[in-house]
Amino acid sequence: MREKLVSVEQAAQIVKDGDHIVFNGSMDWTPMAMLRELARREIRGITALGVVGGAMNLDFLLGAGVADQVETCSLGFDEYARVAPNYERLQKQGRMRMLDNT
Amino acid sequence: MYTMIQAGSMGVPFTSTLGYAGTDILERRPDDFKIIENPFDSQERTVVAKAMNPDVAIFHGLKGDRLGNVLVQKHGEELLLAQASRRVIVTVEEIVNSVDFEDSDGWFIPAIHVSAVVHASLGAHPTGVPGLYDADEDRINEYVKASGSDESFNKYLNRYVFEVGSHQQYLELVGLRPELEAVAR
Repeated sequence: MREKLVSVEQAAQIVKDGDHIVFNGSMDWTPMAMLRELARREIRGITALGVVGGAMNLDFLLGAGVADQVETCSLGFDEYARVAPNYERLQKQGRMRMLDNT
Repeated sequence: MYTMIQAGSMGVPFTSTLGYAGTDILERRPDDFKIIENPFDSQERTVVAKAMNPDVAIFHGLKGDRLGNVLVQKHGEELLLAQASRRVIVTVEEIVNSVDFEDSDGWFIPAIHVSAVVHASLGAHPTGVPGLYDADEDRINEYVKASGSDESFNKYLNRYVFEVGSHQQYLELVGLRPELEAVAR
């Protein structure tokens, strides 16, 4: 059997520029340690998918410049903000693309 | 998208659904959704959604073992996402000798669907993991405030991402020590 336990740095090498990355829809359980490493590695051109919905997962990748496109049915931020805040700023400025998909 | 992911998880090219009928998504995304005749009943038509197989799925879970078996939150979509995706990264709160598929703390995902397991205690911070730790409200409010402009969010990224070299250093920066958290619970 293959050993699959790796460091966060090794796991980040699995992600390539331009990949489509899918996340679950909740604010809790956001894989932030991994997302911060993707930002550190300056991964670019990611499409971030939220099933069902998105929160800090998609918003952080947009804010860090890792993702420039998201596809989901909603992008909230629990009780902390009406809309995911980086998404709101970048969408209003026309600097990203949002695909509506439930 | 859920139905597209379902089709992807099953390895079939598309799946039939009643959703989307009557919405403008059918017109806006003709490459992903179509209305076809039911091959078993020419009187009926149905929406079909094209399969989606994302390059990568990333999520955070409770436990993992060296072979790649993981335990994730109950009632989530993680298993479906893992089955549909080409590569799967799961960060977990703790590494155990063997993840037991009968462990009632969470839902089991077998190693065959997992490419990489990463040990990241408190790996969801500043968001929470129900039952283990609460969301860090002050740090999330700080994130929201920083998101108001490129300049302030870049400052946030410098402080919490670029000026810390590892997850361990991040935890030190925010004043968390995973070994103490583990004892506390």
